[in-house]
Amino acid sequence: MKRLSADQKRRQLIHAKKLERRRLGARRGKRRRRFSPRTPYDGPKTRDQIKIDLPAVLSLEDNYDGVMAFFQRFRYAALIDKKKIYVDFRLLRKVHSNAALMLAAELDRWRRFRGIPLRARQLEQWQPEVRRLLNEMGLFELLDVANKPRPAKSQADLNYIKFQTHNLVEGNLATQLRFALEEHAGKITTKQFLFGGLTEAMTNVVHHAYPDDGEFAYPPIRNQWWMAGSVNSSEKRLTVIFFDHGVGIPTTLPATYTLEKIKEVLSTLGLIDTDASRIKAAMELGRTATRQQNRGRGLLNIRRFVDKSRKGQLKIFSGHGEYAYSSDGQEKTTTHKIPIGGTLIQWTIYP
Amino acid sequence: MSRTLKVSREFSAEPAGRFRTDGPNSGERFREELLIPALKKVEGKLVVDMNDLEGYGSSFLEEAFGGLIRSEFTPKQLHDKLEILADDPALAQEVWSYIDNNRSR
Repeated sequence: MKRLSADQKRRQLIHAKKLERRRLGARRGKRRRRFSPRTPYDGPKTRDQIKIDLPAVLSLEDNYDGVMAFFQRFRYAALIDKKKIYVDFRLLRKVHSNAALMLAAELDRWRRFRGIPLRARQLEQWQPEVRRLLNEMGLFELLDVANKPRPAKSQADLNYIKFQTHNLVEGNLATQLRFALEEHAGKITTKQFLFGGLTEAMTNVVHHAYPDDGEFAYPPIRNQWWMAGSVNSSEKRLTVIFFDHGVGIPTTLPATYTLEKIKEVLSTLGLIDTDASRIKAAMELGRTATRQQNRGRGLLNIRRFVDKSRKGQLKIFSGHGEYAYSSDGQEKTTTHKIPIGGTLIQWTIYP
Repeated sequence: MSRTLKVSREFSAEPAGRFRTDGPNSGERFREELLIPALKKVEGKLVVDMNDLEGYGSSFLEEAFGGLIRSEFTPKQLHDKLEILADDPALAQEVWSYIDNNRSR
């Protein structure tokens, strides 16, 4: 065999590399074309992909168990099993901003862990109103979806405020949300309490929700929170929702107060130790902590927006518990079978 | 001679969070960068003007003002030197509660 000079060897190597690059380039090109936005989507491409249907009613008030069954299935498949999945939106008929925010947060977490952009499928088969609402809420922007639908004309009496997310206490985002609400609701005279409630919710997330030694059922994005809002102008009602994927108030409460103190308060309130009663106890501890302790007043700030409004309600879902507080002083606790997977705070205000 | 420290102009109209690591406009940053230097420099009263803020949370207030007691001031010194200006009387009351009910380190 003819012996090659060093120069010939170098040229052959360059040539071989060129051929390999061309070969890979052709493959990549094919793959790119397959996922090109110009290619209309006509259903799942791979056999090993799991289809997960959204429930017809995406609302914690009207369908808590159905909504949470969806999230449980999605979280397990996406974050534990790490399967290829797609979420089918075609059955979805009714959307409330609380579960919509949870959905946005869930898809946001999934997108960040996967590290690749998401695409909306079969958009033309979604209910037009669902498509419009999710678009108005900024779902496609939050998830950086390439093929987002065109904005549709909104209903006159219901407007959604775009989702926001961060991992710090950012007061300017609370102000931005207030401005967006006021565009539809008019001036909010109790704005300082909205700001106080939201920034305390952010502070609670940064300090307590994602402890370093926390046991998470599903991997979280540390310190991340999401918020959204809506205005029903005919009913003069505004809703603000705040959500995180943390360990939850019932779990973090013993980090702020001793177990003895928590049990003492539960006993005073005549409650057995459940997640829901722990949220109520956290409220009570925040109220009584003003003179003895320098922390623990965050939840009181969160409730104050309701107290200072003409009429309103605060709901906190955390762990298995749900706590509701009305401006007339009524409190109600509920225990759910499936935990919410974080903490969701909802203010419904008639300013 | 007294000096007025207007929080919304000299610090932020959106004060929020306790520690510097929480976010850009925390109580800790306000206390260390503005409040303590102003208290040390002023010869008369320091008037902290809390009006025109977007709002306030207890974490910010407690860390900013309650933190003074944990660092180097006594409640008596602050009653002599500090004045809180706020249209909402509950706000001034809350600030003083953090000063008066705080345990020093």
